[in-house]
Amino acid sequence: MTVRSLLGLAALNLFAVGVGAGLLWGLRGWRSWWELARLAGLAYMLGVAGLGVVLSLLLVAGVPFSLATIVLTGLALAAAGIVVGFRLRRARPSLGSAPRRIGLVGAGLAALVIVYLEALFRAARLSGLYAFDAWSFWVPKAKAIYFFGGLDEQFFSELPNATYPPLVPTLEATAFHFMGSADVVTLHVQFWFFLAGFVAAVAGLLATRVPAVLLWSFALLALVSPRVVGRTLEPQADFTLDYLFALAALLVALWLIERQPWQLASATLFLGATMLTKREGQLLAACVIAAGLAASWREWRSAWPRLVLASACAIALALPWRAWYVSHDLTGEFPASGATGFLDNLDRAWPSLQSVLSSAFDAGLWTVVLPLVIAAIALAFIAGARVLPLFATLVYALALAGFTWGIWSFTELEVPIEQDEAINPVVRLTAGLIVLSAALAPLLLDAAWRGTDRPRRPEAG
Amino acid sequence: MHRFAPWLIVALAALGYPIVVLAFAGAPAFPSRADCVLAPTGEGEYQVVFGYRDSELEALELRDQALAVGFQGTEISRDGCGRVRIAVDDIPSREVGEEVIREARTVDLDPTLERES
Repeated sequence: MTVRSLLGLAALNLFAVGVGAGLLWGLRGWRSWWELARLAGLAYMLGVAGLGVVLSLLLVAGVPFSLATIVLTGLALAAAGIVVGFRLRRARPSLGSAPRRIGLVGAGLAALVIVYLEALFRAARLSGLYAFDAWSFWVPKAKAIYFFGGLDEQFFSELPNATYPPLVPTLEATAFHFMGSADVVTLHVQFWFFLAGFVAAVAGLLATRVPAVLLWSFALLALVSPRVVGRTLEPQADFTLDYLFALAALLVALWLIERQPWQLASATLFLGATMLTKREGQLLAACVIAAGLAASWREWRSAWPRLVLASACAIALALPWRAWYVSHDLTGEFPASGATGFLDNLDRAWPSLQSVLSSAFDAGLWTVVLPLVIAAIALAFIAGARVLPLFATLVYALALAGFTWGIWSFTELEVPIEQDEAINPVVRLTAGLIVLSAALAPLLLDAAWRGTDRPRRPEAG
Repeated sequence: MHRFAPWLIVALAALGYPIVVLAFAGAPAFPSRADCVLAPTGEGEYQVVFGYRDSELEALELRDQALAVGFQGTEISRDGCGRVRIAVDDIPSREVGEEVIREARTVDLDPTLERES
């Protein structure tokens, strides 16, 4: 709660933008500085994902975790992106033309989103560490990494959920290093940066693809959902997972209709980060890939090998952590009854599905986001679009089925789950679909309006 | 002008909100460690605080010192501002607290009275 902590976080997040800009230059390049400004949010989230993944891998490898490690890792990532960019002969950026017009209504909605984020910043600055999981194990893990300089096996095994992946504690420990102390109050501001970065990334990706009114109205609708307002700043992994998953799914959706290699490459990094953020990240990543495979079945010869390669790369990023906790005899990642144990408890099927659906469609938590997305999917199908609505349908349906399987399989959970939303595990799961809706719904409605999901103006590679 | 009007709206909102907040709520406050010390006024229970330390190890030393001279019930706890408080809690009244403080001063301790949070 000091100026020094705030300045430290500002420095860290500027550093993440720099790292991500280097990665984006390698993956995609940009033609003008205006274009980079538009994609700064995506660059930031790439930087966060890249730093989170590589620092997690370094921790697993036993590399001492210090400020020097963080800075050198970021510089190496940015340098790798720049080298790749030069090797691929990315054009040198010019000033370029001014950003396109957004219209008065679109500007008004964008202004509301900005004011909302500014107000949330004020709340973040002095938030206490009250969220149960945050003080129970997420922040203690981060403190252990910060104070001990690595993954302390004994300490981790004493904490609840020892096998939960380390990306968020690693990023929190990174924030502690930049703040100069384990300031758990100002730490909430880091999660404000993640939210702002996610909004900016979606806006940057969709700004040239959909009308500003669609883009900003759905961003605002998702942001003002009561659960998002109340929980998004908590220093735990739930919403960070949702941002990474939503960006991965959005980039795969864009790749399905535009086929730009950088989109799938960026999605791969986000999928890897998703799997390193929470255990359900594996489920969500599998849903994105499965939906991508099904939606590209007409062009399976060209699309499927790329999607399989992308998923293999993402799994490769997440495997070392699994190897670490297995080799250290930590357990609890999967249901005690095994992957097919749910078949022994068929009576749990309906109450599990009931719990998931009642949570996903709870207007008190998410207002009307999911009903609107279903309407957007239906309109896109009716208007003649195929790839986008099929992909969206499958991501949502597979995720809901996957959540049901999870609740069904973890027999220690009493069903139907009717706990308060603060500790209700299903509410945490379904949040990902709401966050995803902010990214996919504008694309679906634009496709419905135009009667096709072919790109409006294909992006340069 | 029409071309820039939407961007002007965005810029005005982005700058306007912080300016309005600054104008009506003043400069942002940065709570200090002193904000975790509640003055012994009003209703409620009190605590006799022997001191604050930066680490639990240092706090345990002072706690042991207070216990050794007879202040039973001295405990350490986080104060919420990054320090560890060494105190006897549940003091029922201000008078009892001041009596405890007088006794402590006779054995080279220098506690203060605070209201429990």
